[in-house]
Amino acid sequence: MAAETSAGRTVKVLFVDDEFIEFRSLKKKIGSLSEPAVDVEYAQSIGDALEKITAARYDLILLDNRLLPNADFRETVPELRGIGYTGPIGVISTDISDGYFQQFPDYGVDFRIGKDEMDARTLQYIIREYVTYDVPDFWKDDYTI
Amino acid sequence: MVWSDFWKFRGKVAGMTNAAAVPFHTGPELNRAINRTDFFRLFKAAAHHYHFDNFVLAKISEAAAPFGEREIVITNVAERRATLFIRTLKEALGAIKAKSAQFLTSPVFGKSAQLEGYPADLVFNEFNGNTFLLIPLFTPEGRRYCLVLSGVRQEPDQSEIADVLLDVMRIFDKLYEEILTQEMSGRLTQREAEIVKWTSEGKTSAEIAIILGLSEHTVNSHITAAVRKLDAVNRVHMVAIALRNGLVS
Repeated sequence: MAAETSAGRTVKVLFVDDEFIEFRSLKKKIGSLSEPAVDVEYAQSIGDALEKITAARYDLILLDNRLLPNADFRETVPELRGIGYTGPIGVISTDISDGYFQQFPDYGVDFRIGKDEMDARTLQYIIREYVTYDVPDFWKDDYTI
Repeated sequence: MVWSDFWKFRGKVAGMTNAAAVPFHTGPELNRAINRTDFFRLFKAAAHHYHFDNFVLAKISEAAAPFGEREIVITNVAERRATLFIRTLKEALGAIKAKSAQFLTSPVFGKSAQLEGYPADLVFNEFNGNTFLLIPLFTPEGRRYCLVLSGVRQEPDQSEIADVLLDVMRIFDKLYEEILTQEMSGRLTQREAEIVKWTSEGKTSAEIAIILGLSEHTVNSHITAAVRKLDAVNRVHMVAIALRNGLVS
């Protein structure tokens, strides 16, 4: 993932939330981000997200914790991983204080963040940390270098 | 409204008031922090609480005092602006303070002006006119780090510096406990051992990510940690050491 994401390419982000207004809010918050260029797409349900991931490649998924009917990341993220998505997944929610959030690494989640904490520079950090990061050549799969 | 409802309501309002009184970076999120992004969130919240815009946590470097780009651990400064940030920090602190960072034990601050030799109309420097505050940090083993805060604000007084120092030390202590001690430990975690085992079976990071239901980033992070802990030079060496030491069968 990291090696294939060149610095100049647009980073494709899939935002999954059952409230469309949250998508508009995110777009507004990150509107000024140009380094790197970001293309955010929207999915309204986990089923919609699964279809989109199967059809196209996404560098990052930002996933609302609670999706209808009443599923949290402990059910939704294994579904995304189950179809072979190995990119980073961040759980984004209004409230991330529930105790079960401490288990997020066990469910294939890379990070969690509050909705009010997200802005252009935070997304820039997330992309740097999880998408465009570079692993030293001598640590990569030795038969691919 | 009956009395029981009134007391419930009052308790709720009191709870909300208390919650609002505790800054994010010193509240419950501090105890919950477990990965680098959690610490990014805490440092960012601390910086904003004290009206700074930027933060950089870095290892102190003797070669490029106070630190070079490669020594940056966590920051909200864009990658392409890091060099400019460090240059402006040096200018703000002055050559003597910047070069003596490795010996500093208490915070220092300064305000930047226009960079010498860089005409204002040629270089856009968002850090111009920023107040910089450098806080030295130490691990119990004596490894030296620093947190630099910068923003357009007045220079902090001693009382505010003391508050910032205390908050930053608390976050850094937690970072040490959750991340830095793990890095220094020679013992593989259960997840790292599992990933080393799959690597010894000839699986790539992508394949291991699918098998374990993780991201490639997480797998690579565990491999990086295992390589460092086993003092290996690459993945093959890591597997050889793990087999030799009986860590995987």
